[in-house]
Amino acid sequence: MKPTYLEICNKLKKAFLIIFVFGQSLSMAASLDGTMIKNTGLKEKPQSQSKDVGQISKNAAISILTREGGWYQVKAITNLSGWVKMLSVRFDRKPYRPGKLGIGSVLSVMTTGHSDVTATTGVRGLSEEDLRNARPDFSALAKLVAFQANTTVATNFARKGRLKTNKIAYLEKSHD
Amino acid sequence: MISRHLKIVVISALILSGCKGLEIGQFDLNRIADLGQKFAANKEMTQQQEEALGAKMTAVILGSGQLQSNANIQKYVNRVGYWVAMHSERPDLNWTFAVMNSSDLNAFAMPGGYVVITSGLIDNLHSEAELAGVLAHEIAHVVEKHHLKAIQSGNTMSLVKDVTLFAKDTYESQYGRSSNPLLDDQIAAKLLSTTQEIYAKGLTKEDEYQADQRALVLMSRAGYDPYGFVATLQMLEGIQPQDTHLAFLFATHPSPRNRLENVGAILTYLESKPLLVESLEPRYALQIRR
Repeated sequence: MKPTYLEICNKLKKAFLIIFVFGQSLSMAASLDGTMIKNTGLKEKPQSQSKDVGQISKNAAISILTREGGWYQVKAITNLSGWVKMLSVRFDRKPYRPGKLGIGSVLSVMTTGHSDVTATTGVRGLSEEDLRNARPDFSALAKLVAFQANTTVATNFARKGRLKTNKIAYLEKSHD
Repeated sequence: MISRHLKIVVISALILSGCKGLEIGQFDLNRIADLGQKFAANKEMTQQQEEALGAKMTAVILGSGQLQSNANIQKYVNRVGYWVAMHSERPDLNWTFAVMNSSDLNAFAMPGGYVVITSGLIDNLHSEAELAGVLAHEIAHVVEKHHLKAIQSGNTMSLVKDVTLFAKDTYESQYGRSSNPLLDDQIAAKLLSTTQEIYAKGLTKEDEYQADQRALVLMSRAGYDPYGFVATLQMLEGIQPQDTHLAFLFATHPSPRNRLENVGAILTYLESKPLLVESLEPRYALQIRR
């Protein structure tokens, strides 16, 4: 049976309401939209051995809520939410918005104010055309020395960030 | 027979008396050929030659825009980059990192340990691990000498000639400027055009895929969450590919989708290891004053 015009309107209203309520309850500037690239179980926790709370199928539209390690917490259009592997999600393509891209823009705790770097938004440079017209800038090259780190500086810096060295060999020929 | 022999001797004598060391035009062919042969024979430059070459190529990249003026950001990027590079197979290079003002999202590696990243890319990253991933990708290009190989295996004649000139130029640089300003100009022009050609064309897809895989291992060795790099590739995938901010990056790299598919196996491999990793979002936010 074909749905009537009124039924379609009601469904749309419901959909908008769901989006609106979620938007409010999550109190995020923006949630990220994506699509599942394979059928997968929605995990209760961001762990492979965690139990499934449901299934989500390939091409299903999702909102990405947060990230933990290699996992995204996603919410399906059916309102079901759970954890999926990062690589099982494809981000929807959106117009470029500086500082508002990727999962980090949703997670970022300090979003007030602009970075010093943001001030350069709109500045061209380093495009293919710029490169083709470039002349070597040796004075800029000379300036770089003042910014360089060394083993002592980098090691102290890593210690402050509690970064630990992990011993790992390369995985050879993994893309063949 | 005798007259033929004599002819050769006379001609040789004339040439040798007419020009020191077989100079033809502005080029000292003996020395160029000699250096070119040495260079081609062992396929290896010395580290000093590589650094000298990389510095000159970096000057060209720097000439295509402006340096970011905030010294704290420059130093921060150098610290993250140096720490990652310390975990590579070439920790002793003269590692130098630079942030350039551009709303484009891109990063470049030059031989000898030079890395340039745009402020536009920095601005769209959200953690130190994400920054470390981008820098690790560039560090991997340097460690694997991808650009040197691109110059050496260049299938155009101009590139092959340029290699010889590079070798000569770096040779000269160790002994001061050559006595021939016109030759210096010609070498500088060749160097400029070759750098422009290589960076406008980009590396092979295989080199990019290898750099992605190496980047994940390098950043993990340095204690950074490898999924930070996955987040960056997904961020790039989430931008409309026709956007001008990505035009140059997309023209010189495989698509983010293909790059993401390429790192699946290495991520599974890394997950099998007992890694201690950090993302350091707060320090990143603080350092770039987001």
